[in-house]
Amino acid sequence: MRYYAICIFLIFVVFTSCNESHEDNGKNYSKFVFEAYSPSNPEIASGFQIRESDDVKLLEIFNPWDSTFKSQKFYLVNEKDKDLTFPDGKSIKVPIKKLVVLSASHLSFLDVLNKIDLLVGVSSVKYVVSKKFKGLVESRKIKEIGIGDHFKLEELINLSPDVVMISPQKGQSFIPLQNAGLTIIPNGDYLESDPLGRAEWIKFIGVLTGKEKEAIHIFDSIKNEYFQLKKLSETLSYRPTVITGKQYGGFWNLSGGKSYEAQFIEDAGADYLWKENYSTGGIMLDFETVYGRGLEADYWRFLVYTSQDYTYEMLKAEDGRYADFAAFKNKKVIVCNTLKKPFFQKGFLEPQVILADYIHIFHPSLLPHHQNIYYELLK
Amino acid sequence: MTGISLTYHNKQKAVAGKFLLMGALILFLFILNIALGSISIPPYEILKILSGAETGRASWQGIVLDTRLPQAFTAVLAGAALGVSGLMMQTLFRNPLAGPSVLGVSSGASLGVALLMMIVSVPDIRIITQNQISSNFSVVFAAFAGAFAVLLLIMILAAKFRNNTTILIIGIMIAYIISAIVGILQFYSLKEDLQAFVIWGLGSFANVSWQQHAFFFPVVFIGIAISVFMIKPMNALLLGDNYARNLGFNTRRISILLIVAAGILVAVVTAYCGPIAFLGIAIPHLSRNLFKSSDHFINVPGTILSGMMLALFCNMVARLPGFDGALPINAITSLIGAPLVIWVIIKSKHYQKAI
Repeated sequence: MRYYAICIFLIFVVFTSCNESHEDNGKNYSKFVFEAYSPSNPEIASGFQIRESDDVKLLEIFNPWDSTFKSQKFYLVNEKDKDLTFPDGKSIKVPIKKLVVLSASHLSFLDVLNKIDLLVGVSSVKYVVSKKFKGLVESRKIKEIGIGDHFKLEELINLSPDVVMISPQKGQSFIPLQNAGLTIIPNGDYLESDPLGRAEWIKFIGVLTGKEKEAIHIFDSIKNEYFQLKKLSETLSYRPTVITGKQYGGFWNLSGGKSYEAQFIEDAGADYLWKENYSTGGIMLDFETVYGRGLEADYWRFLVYTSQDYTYEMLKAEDGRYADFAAFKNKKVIVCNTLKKPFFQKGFLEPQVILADYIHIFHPSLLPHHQNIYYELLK
Repeated sequence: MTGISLTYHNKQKAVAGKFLLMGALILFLFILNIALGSISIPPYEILKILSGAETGRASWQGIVLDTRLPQAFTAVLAGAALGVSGLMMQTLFRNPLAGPSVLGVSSGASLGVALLMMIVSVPDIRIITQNQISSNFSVVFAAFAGAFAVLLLIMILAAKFRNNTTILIIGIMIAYIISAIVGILQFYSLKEDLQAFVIWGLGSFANVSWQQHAFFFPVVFIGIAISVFMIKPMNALLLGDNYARNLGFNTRRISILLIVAAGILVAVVTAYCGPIAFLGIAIPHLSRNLFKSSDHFINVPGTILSGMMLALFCNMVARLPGFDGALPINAITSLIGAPLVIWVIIKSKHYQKAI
């Protein structure tokens, strides 16, 4: 009998406490109905979504590897609502004050929005081209907390950033960081296959750093310029053919038919030879497949990373068969030297410049005065 | 007396017949390797290209002469090299599970490549090879350096310890140590570098161009030539170390020579084709079963031929039309080689006793 009494009492306690916490939270979040899209909601990017209710924004980030399209929710609240909590997502007080970025490609987004001062940590400056960042790291204002794709866990926790921004990778886990109370936000810009989609992640940075209007403005001007350029080449009857990539380890690594690179080629008024391929990433083919199909392609594009000026001789020295390609013979090889050009650091934010480079190469008469920034014809 | 010599004669005839048959099969597989690929080229056109005539399409000429032909040669050489080195190791250690990888030589090659790719990082490799002997070359060089460092270590140990089992165990332990180091390197590397290393680890016969054959072929040839000179001592070793010594062989020198020859063969194949050492375990079993003999006068040429056959077959499967050549050779060799060994062992009762 006493057992029963204790049991009933316990059940009662549990029940009422549950009820209580429900009611308590209910006061907080039930008045918010996130139906309206925020002005920062993306038009082209598909990796995130922003809705708002009063002063609170709901930032949803879609897990690119989850077939159910489940999203991760973040509630962006300002000073007066800072105690608000939501049952299905983490609250972040915006604008954030301390930020750690684990991918160098996100730095330029902060730079464009003039918010570099928020940074307290980066993964590594090894691949950062900008001298400004390197100076900041050397002067110890920003800590380097990464080694390769890993990071020094305790130093990162010690920095106690408001937000840790990561580049999502499949199978990655941040449980120790989350257990330490850190907020991890995935920035999936590199997964967007549309060049403008990648640039649009500036809006995501904008809502976090309190630079919403500036971000929208910057993106709109990028977009308008991009569409104007795209229009130039849309009606052309001559569309040169293009192949991409080079051979490595016995396989030729090409851009997928629906990839970021393929989209540029398409928008610049050229035909990518593998455009019917459905991959948004890269494809691996054996040499003869590419050789058989691409030998007569008009242009051949790839990235190089070298301190020297890359030349046709160097290309031929890598593999003698490269010299058989028509693009090689006619000197129509397009390269971007990523050691000298901030392609990975800043290229995401300048799709209009990359597109203009391509158009200038494929159809010189359309943009006679353009100076190429990223891509150049190999001399 | 006449009876014995007659059966011996008959046996010799049977072996010669099998050699001829295998030679014909190798030729046939070689032709298939040239004829089949992700791009379909009519057989008549291939003949025209091989005879030096012009063809309708320039790309076909490049595919046949500069892609399929060197790749088929690479497969032939790598198969022979791995088979022979596997046989030498199995005889030396008197262990059917021994293979080219037991010496840790192929892990040494992996370590060299891992150090190059992950510490130097793939984008920087091209900076190092400033005079651009080709970016492929630095990988080959790193693999070779790693393999030889381990080989040297094993040789020093082999000179110190008489007992082959000791060397075998030390070799396997070294392989574990190295794979741990490679694991640490992988853990701290960028994903681009990691991917490059993984791709290298999948192996490929497509990396050896004609220019590189100028080095690949002679080295493989030397290794195989040594193995031919080692036929008699290897037969003696089969009887046991003491027997071999009684027959007047310097067993320690034989051990070292066998290790060097096998090491060179594995090092060069791993350097150019990646770690595909599995073939080395499978091929000697295939040969021993085909000839039902453990005589090295039969098995050395036997492993060379079966190695060529198996490698050509694997290379053909990996590049069958429809796959776009995107099947890694290492997967194919294991997928085909492992069931083959199992089948050989299950099928042959004689063989179960022989091991």
